[in-house]
Amino acid sequence: MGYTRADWSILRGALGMFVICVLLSTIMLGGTHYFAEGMASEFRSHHGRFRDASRKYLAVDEEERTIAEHYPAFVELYRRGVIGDEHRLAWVEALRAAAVELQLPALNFEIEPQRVYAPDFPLNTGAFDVRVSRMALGLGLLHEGDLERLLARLGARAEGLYSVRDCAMRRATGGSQPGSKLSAECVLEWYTLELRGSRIRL
Amino acid sequence: MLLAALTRPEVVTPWVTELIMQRVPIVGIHSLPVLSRELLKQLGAKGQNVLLISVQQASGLRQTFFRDGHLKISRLAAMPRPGTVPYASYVTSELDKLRRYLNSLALSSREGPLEVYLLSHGDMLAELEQECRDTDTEHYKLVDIAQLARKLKIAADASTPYSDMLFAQLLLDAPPREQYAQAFETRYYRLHQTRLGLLGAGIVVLLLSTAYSTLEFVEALGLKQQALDAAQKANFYTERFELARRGLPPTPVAPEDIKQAGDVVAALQARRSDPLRWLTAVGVQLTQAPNIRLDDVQWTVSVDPNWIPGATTPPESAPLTRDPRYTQYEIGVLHGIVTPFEGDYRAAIARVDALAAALRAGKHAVDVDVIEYPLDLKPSSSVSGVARETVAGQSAKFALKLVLGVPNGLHKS
Repeated sequence: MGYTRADWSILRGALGMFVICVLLSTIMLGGTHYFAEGMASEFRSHHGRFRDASRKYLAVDEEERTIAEHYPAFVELYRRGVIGDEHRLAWVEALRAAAVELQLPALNFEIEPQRVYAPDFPLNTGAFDVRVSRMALGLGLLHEGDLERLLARLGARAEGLYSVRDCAMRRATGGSQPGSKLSAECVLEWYTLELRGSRIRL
Repeated sequence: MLLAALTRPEVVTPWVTELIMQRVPIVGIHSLPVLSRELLKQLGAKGQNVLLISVQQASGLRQTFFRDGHLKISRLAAMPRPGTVPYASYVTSELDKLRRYLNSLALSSREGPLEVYLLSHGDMLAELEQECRDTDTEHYKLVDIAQLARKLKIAADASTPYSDMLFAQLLLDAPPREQYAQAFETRYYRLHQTRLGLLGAGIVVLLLSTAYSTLEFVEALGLKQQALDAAQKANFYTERFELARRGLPPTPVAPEDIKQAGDVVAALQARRSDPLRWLTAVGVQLTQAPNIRLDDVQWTVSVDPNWIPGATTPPESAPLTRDPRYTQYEIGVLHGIVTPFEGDYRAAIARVDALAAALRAGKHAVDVDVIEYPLDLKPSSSVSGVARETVAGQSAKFALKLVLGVPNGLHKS
């Protein structure tokens, strides 16, 4: 038995009322939920700020100790070009000086653009980026001891922190640099630390 | 009850039709005998044979017989207007007729008397008291309608000999399931129920959502208050922190990052590498092998012991597994010749093997592999040469790979 127009007239009002009630309920629930979410978000934000501020405040003494203990070393590393801007000029000067002192028959170099270093070992760099500049060295050596002495002078004089990544050394042939007994090609990686997204200035 | 039916539907149909036309909700169409069953409970009638006699204003004298509580028959007799005939005599005469009918049909039990409940009021009830005398086979129970109405909690004045009000109340209180209305006759009742259901559901939804929203709103207000407190405390501690910081020297990075920077640099320094350690390990052994001359050395450092010096991509095979004692490896390949050679391949191979064995015995030697011998003796290789070639034209080249482990990743240890 289907519903007639007269039947709908009986139900219409109640149905309309039901729909209005559901709509009102939805609006009310949605509104309060939105309001509650906003309040919860505001609370989380302020609470986080409070936690951060209180933690910082309580850590001031610790910071004082940290500064006293570690800041001098930090400044020294900055001056040595390990933290902050790299000292390319100092590297080149150190190389030239070593080559003259050791009377190396040949020395050439090529430095690649600096890039962010992704170490192949676990390293928590915190707020810093470790950056690396690769330096390719081409050397003419009188004997293998020259390589050792060159690296030692570079470590002592050059402002920066480096590590040798690859090295190849071969007996000099007729096509090699004149006067060289050995030729060597090495790749050095110069590391510097910089604040991520910022620059360190002392 | 096996069967109950309206014997004269033409009496009811016009009423029902009119009610439907007026869209009046009809719950059901009930008959008075069926409803009488409910009245027995109120009267406390539990006998085997019970006869209920009542007078209705419109229909007349109703006699309904129950056997063991079950409705058996009901008879309706016309009732003359009050005062035109002696009431009690008329009732008892009609009672006699029914009793004869019951006997003829053997509907009543012989084991118990017939309990006759007479519903009336006032003078008529007094008349009946005079007329009705209990016998062995008949027991009369005269019931005052007014008293019964009070028992049924009827608020209106029930000082009447007619029982219509009692049955109406019984119908309102507990309508029997058995009724005669068909589906189309009760459709407006169902619609009415649906309408009430929708209204009720709407109100319930609204009330529940209001209650929930109120609770959530109150909770949100609590959070707002807590947020304000937290903001106040945050400002307080920030101010205190700034005051305390003024006493500290200015630093370009946060104090906790100063130590972090030192740690990172220390870790990088600990992993600094150069080929000197590896060259020293080889050089020491070469001093013991004057017949070996190096021509070419390739060296690299990697966390993978299988890495090949000079390669830019990881090696395809990994025969060496990583040793937990080492986190880094220095890997080098040296190329050289055995000199003087004098065409003695066996002696040349022995010298290369001796060098490999000496390197293998060295500290932190992870792997020593002769990549190339002066003469490749592997069955899978093809070998060619000139057997009678002069010694001067021959050479005993070899290649050897040495992998050194770096303990704990610290080169200087």
